Amino acid sequence: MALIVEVLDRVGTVLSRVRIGDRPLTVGRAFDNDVILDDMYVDARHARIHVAEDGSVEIEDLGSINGLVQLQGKERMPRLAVQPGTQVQLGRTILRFRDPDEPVPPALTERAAAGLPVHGLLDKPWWRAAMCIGAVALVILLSWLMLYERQSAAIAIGIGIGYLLFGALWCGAWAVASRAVLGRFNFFGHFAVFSGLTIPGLLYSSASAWVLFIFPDNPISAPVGFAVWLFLTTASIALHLGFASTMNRFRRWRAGAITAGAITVMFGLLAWAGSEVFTDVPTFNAILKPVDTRILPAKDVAGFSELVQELVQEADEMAED
Amino acid sequence: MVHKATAPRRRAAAVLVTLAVLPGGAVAQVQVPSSTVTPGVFERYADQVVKIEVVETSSSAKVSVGTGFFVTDDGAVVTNYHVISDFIHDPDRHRIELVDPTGPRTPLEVRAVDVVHDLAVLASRLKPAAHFDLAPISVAQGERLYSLGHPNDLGLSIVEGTYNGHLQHTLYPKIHFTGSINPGMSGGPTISEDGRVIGVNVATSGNQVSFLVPVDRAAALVRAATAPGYEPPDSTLELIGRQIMAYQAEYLDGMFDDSVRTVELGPFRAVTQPAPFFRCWGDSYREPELPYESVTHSCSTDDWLYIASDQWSGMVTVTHQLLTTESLSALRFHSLYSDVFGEDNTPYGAEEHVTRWTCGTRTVRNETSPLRAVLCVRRYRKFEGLYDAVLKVAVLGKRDTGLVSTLSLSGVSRENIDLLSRRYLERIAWR
Repeated sequence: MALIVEVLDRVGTVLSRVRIGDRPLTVGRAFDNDVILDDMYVDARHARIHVAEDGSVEIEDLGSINGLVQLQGKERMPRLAVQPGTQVQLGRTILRFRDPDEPVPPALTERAAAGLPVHGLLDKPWWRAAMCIGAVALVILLSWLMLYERQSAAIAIGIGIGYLLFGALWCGAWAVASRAVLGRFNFFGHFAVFSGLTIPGLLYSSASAWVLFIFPDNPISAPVGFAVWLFLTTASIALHLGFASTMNRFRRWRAGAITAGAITVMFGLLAWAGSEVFTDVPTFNAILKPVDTRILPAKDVAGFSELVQELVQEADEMAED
Repeated sequence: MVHKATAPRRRAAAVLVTLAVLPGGAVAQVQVPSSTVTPGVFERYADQVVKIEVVETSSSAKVSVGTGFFVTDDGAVVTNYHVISDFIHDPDRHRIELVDPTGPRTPLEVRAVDVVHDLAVLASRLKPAAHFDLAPISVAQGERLYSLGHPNDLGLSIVEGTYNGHLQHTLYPKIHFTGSINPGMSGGPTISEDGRVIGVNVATSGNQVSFLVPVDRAAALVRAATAPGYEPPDSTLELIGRQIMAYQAEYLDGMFDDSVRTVELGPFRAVTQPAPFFRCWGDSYREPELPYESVTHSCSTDDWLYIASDQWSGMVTVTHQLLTTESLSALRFHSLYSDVFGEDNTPYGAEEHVTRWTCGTRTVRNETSPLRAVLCVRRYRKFEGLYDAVLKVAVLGKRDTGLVSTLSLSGVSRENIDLLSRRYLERIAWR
């Protein structure tokens, strides 16, 4: 029975594969071995693999310091019969035996073959450029609409530049991480992710201000806003990881969700700690928008008493605490 | 040269002559009395004025110093409520003592308090040889008065000054005394040359502008506190709560009703000078190239009640801010409008005395206009049924003009928050 021996590191990455023929193979750290292991815990001549007359394959310890350990058994063995699927540990290296007739899946596209997930629009240079320019333009436009001072345009452009600098720092950090993990920076990919998520974030917060003006103190805006924030944070981490790791889609989104959850818990704790601190500054909804006032749900003046009673009761409850 | 030098000298000689021919008696009547009478006043009445200290029991050190004066032969002392307010708020940790620099300290007990007029009557077990009489008297403007007290705890002092009538913008009468009343003199008497009390020292706004509580208020409190069968209140704080409640019911009665005056601001009409005890001010903000204009009109009461060193009550303010623009787009104008509407102009509050604010926002439509209204309320922790409230209103519906109007009330009942908010909302209108 012919077999393939795979050399794996401890995390399971395949380092090399050697076909076992009729001739015995020597395994060790010395360069004259048939299977050379780059592992300080492996002897110069550690083991030998040979095929018996009946075709069965066996691995034999050549008196090494750390010996042979069958992975499932965790015990040191002087010799061991192997078949497809057997895994043996030598020092910190694992030898895995496989059947040469095992089928292999078809080749992937170039990007996936390099271990990188596929990103769709984020990989298309025109879309990247459109997202970056669109995000900066939106930041400047929305800033300008919020300003009413003499140099509003200059301040808005300054805010746009600040946004770009922040993005460069954020994406630069991701790019450095990508370089460490994958060997490439992917800076523009990260910048596309950053810009691509800024746009829905800004559009949502603008839309939400209008909703809060038309329906002040509504009970829905806050939870919806929180859900949108959670989604955008999760998506941000997941998409950045797409350019910075070889994780599959599920693991990337899970990592994003965990990060968003952790940030939520952190801010939740901060808010909880802060809620006990006394302040004489009120918080209230002061948003005003130019809408046709006929669409505003309004009450007559007599109906205002309801709010007075509600607030007085709340204040009484606070005083009695 | 010679002529120029001699001319002024000749004029000076002429003035000297004029003074010399004045009757000596006339000069003496104008200038001499203050220097000869004052020592006499001090000598005659110093014994009847005492120093009052509120002592923190765990440190045995004073937390406040003020002045008081005997008003009965069995040792009742009148002072200001604010001199002893630390004791009222926390009687377990404080005691009140009468301090005689030559004799022992004497404990004092609270007999009666009038928080509205900032007065208190304390009982001592001393039998003063003499005491002040609180019979009401009339005084002419400009008459010389003498204020006694312990300025900055420096020892009993006498300050000369003049009577300048009653303040014109206050809800309750206060005497305007032109003389230097300083901290520590609070609760001391201001008297005439013959020892009749005109008022009780209560406040100063610096530069010799000082205020007195008229003597009739002190007399009324002393009469009540010394009446046969009178018992001091079980809880002074509860009594103070009732006094604030009655005070607000009185001064807010009828406020913003149909007879209220209004002011025209751009296209809007809003209330102004809600009562004679309000004073109103105006201001505008226009700068070249600034894309908007702002005009402010505000009115506020002069009166306020001292409740504790970090709590005041009884103030009402009304502020209108008109915003107009010619160059801002509707969206940008509303960013400005939102920011002005969101400004915090609520009064200070200390955690010991008030809860946090709780606020709500509503759209309200009165007869002429749609309004956005925000109401914030907080309660007095120690006084059930009393609240501070701030109502902020923005008139909606214009692309380039807006009015932010704020009504601030302190120490009022829930009924008054409700009634005054609604009246206020009714009276903001398009012209």
